[in-house]
Amino acid sequence: MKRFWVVTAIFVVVSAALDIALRHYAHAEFWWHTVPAFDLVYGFLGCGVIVVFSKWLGHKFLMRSEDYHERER
Amino acid sequence: MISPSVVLFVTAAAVALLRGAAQKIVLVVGCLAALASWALLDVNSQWNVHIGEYTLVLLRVDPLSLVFGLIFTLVTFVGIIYALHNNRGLDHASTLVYAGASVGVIFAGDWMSLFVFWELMAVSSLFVIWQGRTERAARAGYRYILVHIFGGSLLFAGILMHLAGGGGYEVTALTESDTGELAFWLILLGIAVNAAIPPLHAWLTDSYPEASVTGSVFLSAFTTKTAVYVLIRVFPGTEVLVYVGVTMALYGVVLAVIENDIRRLLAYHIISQVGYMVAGVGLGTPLSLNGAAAHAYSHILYKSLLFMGTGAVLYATGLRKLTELGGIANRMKLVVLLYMVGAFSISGFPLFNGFISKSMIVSAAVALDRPGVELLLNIAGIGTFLHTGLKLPYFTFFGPDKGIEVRPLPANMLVAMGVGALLCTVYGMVPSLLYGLLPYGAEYHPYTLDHVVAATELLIGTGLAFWLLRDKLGGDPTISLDTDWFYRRPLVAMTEWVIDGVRALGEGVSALRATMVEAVWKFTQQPTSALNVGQVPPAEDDDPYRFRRPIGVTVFWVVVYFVLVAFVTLWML
Repeated sequence: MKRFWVVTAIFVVVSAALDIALRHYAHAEFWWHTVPAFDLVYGFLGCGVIVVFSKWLGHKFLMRSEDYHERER
Repeated sequence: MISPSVVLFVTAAAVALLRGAAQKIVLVVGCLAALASWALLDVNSQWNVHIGEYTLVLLRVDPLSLVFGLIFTLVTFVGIIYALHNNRGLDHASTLVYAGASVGVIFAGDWMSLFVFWELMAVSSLFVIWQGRTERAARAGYRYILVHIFGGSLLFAGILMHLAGGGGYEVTALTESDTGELAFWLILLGIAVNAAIPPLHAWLTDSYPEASVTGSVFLSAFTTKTAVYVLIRVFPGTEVLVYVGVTMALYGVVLAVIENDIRRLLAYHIISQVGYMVAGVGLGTPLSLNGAAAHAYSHILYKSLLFMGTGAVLYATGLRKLTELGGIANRMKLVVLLYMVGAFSISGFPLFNGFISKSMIVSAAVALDRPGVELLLNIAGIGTFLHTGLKLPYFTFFGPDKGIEVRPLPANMLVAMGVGALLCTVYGMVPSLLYGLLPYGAEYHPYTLDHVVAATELLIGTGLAFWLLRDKLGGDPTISLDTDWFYRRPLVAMTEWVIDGVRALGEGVSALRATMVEAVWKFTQQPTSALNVGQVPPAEDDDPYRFRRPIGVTVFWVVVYFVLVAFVTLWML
């Protein structure tokens, strides 16, 4: 568990550092292409939003018991 | 020059009749021959058959059909190796007819032959679904074919209207000026059914998980990708497809979050991945169209690998639900490794083949100054890694050991997965192998520092969030409603209501008729009895002839009638 956090922390720091140090923003088309480590944050938040939204949608509207379609035959 | 689809049809006929070692040899040789016949095709050549005024173009070889033709024959070969332990000749035959029909659609140059192969694909894939040989597979198959007959009818109506409206017999791009025509939209809708564009997608997630372990590998490859091919061919730059594609990409991701069945989860990600391709078609630039073709190529490779991996789990354990699986990684090390190659590919890890094609479509959106498309497709990418790369393997292979029994896999399954994984990696590392085949001549370099850093960051961020949320992400032992609900519940109820109503109406009419007969039968026996009720003979002797006049009286009146007729006729002459 501790090792996981260490590895993750190293990844985050290294990629953010690489990002800031090496990335040249010649291709930058939109403003977020020039924000350092934007994709890191976007991935993190995007993942959270997908999980929370889908689970909410599922529990509220879509999920049924496994025999739902067989039951009323 | 022979069409690869002809080679596949001949192989199908042969394996249906053969048994034992001969069957296996013919299977492998036939698939290799199909690949060889692809290699021998002359670029920009046609094979036309004239029937009356109409021209059938049974083989049109151009760069676009070549790239799809190659991947279809290639995945047929890989899938057949995966299925080689199956001894049922008819299973292999239906699979090969399905593959041959799909290749037939790719090389069909005119609308009619395209439609015929299209329908053959629908029928043969039904038998591939029925290879599952369960009650559930049978029912899902019936729903599947009904939806595809509906889609095929839309397509056929569209084609007929297109031809009647003076359109050419050759399958070419319909332009902006055609959007006012009904034919344009009918053809688009017919294709949309096969492309699994929501809300017309539910046949896919309904039926693919019910197919056999080996059958679902082929299903994941052909039907949706032939639809993508036709979209590239006929509808490049159709703006609505951008919105539809992005919606699809997200739709599949959202439904995958709450899915418990591992193969249905992958099926939702077919929809999501096809969304990228549809969006690429809609963007309509050479780069985005190349991206759509390339992503179809990559997708077929990694998705068949993923279905082979989950199929291996199902074969070895008999289980297919996240809530039932877990803790088998130590007993299926090779499967875990090969599955993860597919998972890294679909997630777009640099050095794997998803990265080199998915990024083309996203870059095309950026180049067209469409920030929304870029951001939303990246969200779909996050969701893809979350499910196929993290959640599915985590809950299937890892976690606490539940003492699940794992039976050994046939060697051919592992070999096929190995070949699939090798192809995913080779194309990822040497993109020029794929780019050299692409039809629209747009230059693209995936391995720039920008792309690699951005893709890696996105994946790390996703992985981090997964780890924090992993307790929330386990499967629930439920199923999810989807648009198939509409034809499994209200439509069934409505049909039953109509049938019951018609039956009740029929019974009512029948009862009414009986009452009426009861009321009037006496008068048909003796019409005058109504006039002199008092003279009706008593019924105690129960004689059915009691109302009848004696035969002599009847004959007398008949003679009088004929004499009258004779006089009138003679007088009129």
